[in-house]
Amino acid sequence: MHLHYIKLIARQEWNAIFRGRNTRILYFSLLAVSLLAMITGWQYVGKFNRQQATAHQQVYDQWMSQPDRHPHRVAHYGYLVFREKSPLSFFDFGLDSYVGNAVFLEAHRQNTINLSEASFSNGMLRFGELSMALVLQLLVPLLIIFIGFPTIAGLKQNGVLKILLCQRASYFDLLVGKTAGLTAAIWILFLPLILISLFVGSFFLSGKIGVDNTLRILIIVSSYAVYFLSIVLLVVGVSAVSRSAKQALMALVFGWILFIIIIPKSAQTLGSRLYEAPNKIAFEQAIEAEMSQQGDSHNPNDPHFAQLKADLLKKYGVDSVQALPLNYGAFVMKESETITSTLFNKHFDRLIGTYRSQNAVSTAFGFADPFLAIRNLSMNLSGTDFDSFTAFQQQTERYRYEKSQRLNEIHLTQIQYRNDSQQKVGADHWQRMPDFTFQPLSIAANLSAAGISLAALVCWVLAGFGALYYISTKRHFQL
Amino acid sequence: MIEAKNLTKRYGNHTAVNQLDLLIQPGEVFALLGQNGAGKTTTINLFLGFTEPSEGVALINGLSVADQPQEIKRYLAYIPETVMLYPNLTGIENLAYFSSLADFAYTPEELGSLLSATGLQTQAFNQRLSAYSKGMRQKVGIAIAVAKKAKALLLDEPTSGLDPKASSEFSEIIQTRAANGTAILMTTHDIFRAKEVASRIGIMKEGVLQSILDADTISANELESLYLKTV
Amino acid sequence: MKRYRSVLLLELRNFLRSKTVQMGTIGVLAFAFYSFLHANQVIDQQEQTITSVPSVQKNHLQQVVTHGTGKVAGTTAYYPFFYTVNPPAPWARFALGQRDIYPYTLKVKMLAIEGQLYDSELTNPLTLLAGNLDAAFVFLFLLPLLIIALTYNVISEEQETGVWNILHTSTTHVGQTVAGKLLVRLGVLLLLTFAVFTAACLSLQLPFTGPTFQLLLVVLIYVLFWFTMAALIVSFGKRSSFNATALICVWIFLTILLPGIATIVVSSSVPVPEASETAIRQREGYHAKWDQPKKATMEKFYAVYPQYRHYPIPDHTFSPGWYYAMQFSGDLDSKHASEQLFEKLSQRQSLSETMSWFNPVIAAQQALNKVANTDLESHVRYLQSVKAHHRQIREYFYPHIFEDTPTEHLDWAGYPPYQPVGYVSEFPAAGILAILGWSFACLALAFVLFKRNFLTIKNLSHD
Repeated sequence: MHLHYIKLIARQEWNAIFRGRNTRILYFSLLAVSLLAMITGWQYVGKFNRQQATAHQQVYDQWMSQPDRHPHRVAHYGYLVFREKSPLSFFDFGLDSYVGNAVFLEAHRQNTINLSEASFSNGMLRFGELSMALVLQLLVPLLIIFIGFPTIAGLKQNGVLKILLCQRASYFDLLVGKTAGLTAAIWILFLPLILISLFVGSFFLSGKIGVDNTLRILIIVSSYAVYFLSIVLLVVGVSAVSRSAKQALMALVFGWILFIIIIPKSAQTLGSRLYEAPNKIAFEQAIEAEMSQQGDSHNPNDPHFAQLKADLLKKYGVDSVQALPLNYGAFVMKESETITSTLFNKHFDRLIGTYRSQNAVSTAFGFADPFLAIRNLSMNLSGTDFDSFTAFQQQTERYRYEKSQRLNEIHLTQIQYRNDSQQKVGADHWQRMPDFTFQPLSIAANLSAAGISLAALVCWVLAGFGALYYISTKRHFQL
Repeated sequence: MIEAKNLTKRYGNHTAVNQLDLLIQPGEVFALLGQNGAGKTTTINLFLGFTEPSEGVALINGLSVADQPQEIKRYLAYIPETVMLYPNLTGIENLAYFSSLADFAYTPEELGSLLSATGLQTQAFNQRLSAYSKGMRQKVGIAIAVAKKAKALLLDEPTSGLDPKASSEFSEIIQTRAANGTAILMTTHDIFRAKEVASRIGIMKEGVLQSILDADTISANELESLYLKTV
Repeated sequence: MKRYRSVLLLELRNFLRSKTVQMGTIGVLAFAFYSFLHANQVIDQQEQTITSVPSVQKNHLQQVVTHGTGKVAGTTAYYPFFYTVNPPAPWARFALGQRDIYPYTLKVKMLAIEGQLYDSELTNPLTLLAGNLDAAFVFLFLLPLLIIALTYNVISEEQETGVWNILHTSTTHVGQTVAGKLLVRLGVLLLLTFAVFTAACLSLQLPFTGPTFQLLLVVLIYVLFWFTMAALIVSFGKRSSFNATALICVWIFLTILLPGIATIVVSSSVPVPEASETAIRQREGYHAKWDQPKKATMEKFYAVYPQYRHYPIPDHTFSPGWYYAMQFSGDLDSKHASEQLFEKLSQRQSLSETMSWFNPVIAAQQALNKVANTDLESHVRYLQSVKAHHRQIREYFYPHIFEDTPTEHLDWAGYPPYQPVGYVSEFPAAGILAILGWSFACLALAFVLFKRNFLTIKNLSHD
């Protein structure tokens, strides 16, 4: 390693890149596309969040202006929660279009989160959505390929490589120098763009830039820096082992297709084959089957509830439920809510576990495909990943459960068993209940989920340098 | 047969070929000597119709190349410095392909004898061209030219990069073709090969044909000193 | 003619011996088989679920009846779910389309329908993002890449190696020779398309009827489009690396960028706040009724079902007839928003149909999904059929609810069975026309450029 030569070569590569007419054309078209992606994404997210906020306000007002009602009616009146997109989602749409946007929360029923963008779209969505992340993950590597494919192979073809290698710089110096020059150029062309877009965009969307967002933005930018470096290493490596520039270009384009289409799709389908997830009917049937074993409040002969009743009568020393100091109907509902909720959560966690295992296959393939690694990392940090959505599901379910139990508690204590349905409770009871606010995952939680992907990217860089070193020691790659 | 009248080619300010007048008769081999960039290859390209003349006319069999670019192809054949053919086809297949394109239908035996006539080893006939040496490819190139029964043969540096044996075999074939009534124009750097093969030798410098010499009346040494003096 | 045939034959032999052709074909075939496997698995699972539905339904109703014994029908009627299914058309295996996103079974109660229509299937969102792997994907995405790989260097490589110069001087029919080279490639590509398609038919068990041939037609024309596009780029007469780069850029533009922009345009220019609004209105419409005088609600109900007017509805206590009338009014209150939602969906559909005139890839995808009945329109038809079924069920049970029939005296399974939508055949004429139009445009332009760049004299010597 001779730092002096590496610098020299890097500077030469840098100059060559910025002098190229093709570079300019490709860069400016990419710049235009990414600005377009940023602006449309930003507008879209802004509009969507306003729409969701309006719907939320409407539901909240309706909730607050309810008249005096029977608590169980309120439990079925329920609440609608609307999911808002994260402030960085304009950068990376991630899973946003494929997950539900609204959920109806009511007593003893876990509804699915519905109204996803995908469920109202025709097939066009499946081509992918244009976001800045898409440009950076898919198109920038292609730009690197188009700029970098002849970097060594071209020198071989016109014989310059032999002359260069007769000077004092080693082949490894040359490879590292080329890598450094190309990487520096790509970083200068794109990293400031990402940084500014993220700061400006998230500021205008959420009106502030918190510590959390700043940290996320910085990590996103550094991840993309590592990603670009790993692509440059690949390009230089392939160019160095190719006999001609054309051969290098073909191999690189083929690799690109493999990385962005074939491996991600295959990995995910493989994941869903290896860990088969139940469909909705099977999922519900499993819960129902277990419920009839544990205690079904609708079943008059259910042993669990019969036992419960007997215990309760004994505890209060009365011989009929009418004589109890509390509302027996509400007591049963409360117990039943606990049972169904626990059961549902158990099965739901298992389902999420299955999905996680499926997704882990894709994550593991990050070691075979840097695109998968950056895709996961970028989604995670933008808050549009699987875990963020799962957190939303879990938080709404917890909110539903707590709300239902509060209402059951009111029912239990304030409504007489006799003529139950004829009674009402003051509206102030539910006006006091807290509204739902989504607590986004902490950056630490996101990062720990993305740890493997980050490790994969770092591995790519290390392996890239290792490969360059290996190539530089082999005589036949110099010809 | 191969004729140039006031043939001129300019690229911007640079004149690659300047007012060339030349007539090569059937049975004659004309060698064009000159340094790199003297205008030799441009001359060949003008006769092939690869480039349009700025002035004057290139004629093959009395037809203007620029006016009848398709028609003149019936009469000429071309062998470049490095003969590149289809690497995935065998020698026989390449020959069959190109002669079919030239509207000649040969039986496999005839194709074989055409290849044999160039001195190509029989066992190479059915090998893919990717396994051929440069000399072997040159021979297939000659076979293609011969198969076309071309009246004019244009050769661009045909012997460069050939070993002495291949080069000498090549000279023999060229002379056989000339004896059969073909007009041949070849460019070369090789003074001795030019003297051996050609009947006349032209020395070109900066696009201008400086002198034309009779190969029979000049010795190799005289030719060399003349060449060095001219260029 | 005979000589031309032998030229073509040698051309074909030359082409087929190239490594790119062999590797590319093997790669596409291997991936195609994996895609068949995957699509079969997805649809098999869906069909399995669908076949399990009748027994699930039967057990469920039995349980409901057992629990409800002794109560009146109106009380028990709150509990049962009624399942509907959207069985895949045989061609869904070819183009899974949106079948992984849209629910293919929906269960509805006799309560207001609007809150129940948009339930989603349980799926892993990352799997949805990664997208489906089916024959349509292979044809839409991968085949164009193979076409590019096999045609980008058709003349340029010969120019770069120098064969072209010999070829050019060898023949008086340069045009025919070039056409021959292109035709050989087109022939091989069409044959390969046909082979992959036949393999798809066999392994996906597509019936040999109209829709299968429609799929074939779309695919063949689509291949033709990409071939003419490749010919167009080649006709510029540039170097191989230029051709490869340009064609990859065209591919990215047509398959990723343009649809990506179009998607955003569609979803932000036709937003569907009506989806949330329907849910909000239906909920509010229904629940407000509890606090309103019963008569107003009942009148709304009687306007549609006057035959129940003579049943008494007590003013101060709960009665099942009133309960179901409230549910019904909830739907009436959200009717407008719901209609608007469906209107918006058809706007989205027509907007993307407009866009497919500008992009043959979108056109082909929409055409395949249409034939396979896996597009948004098919799903909307399913939702409408669920609505219709919901009405049938209500109308079957209403008399018993108003009559206060005891649960055990009622045939709970006697409601009119659900009628699946069935296959709707529609020839994707617009899509096919769009692709054909683009193909002809490319072909015409390529023809002109070929004439200019290859058949007339120009300065070929690059040195």
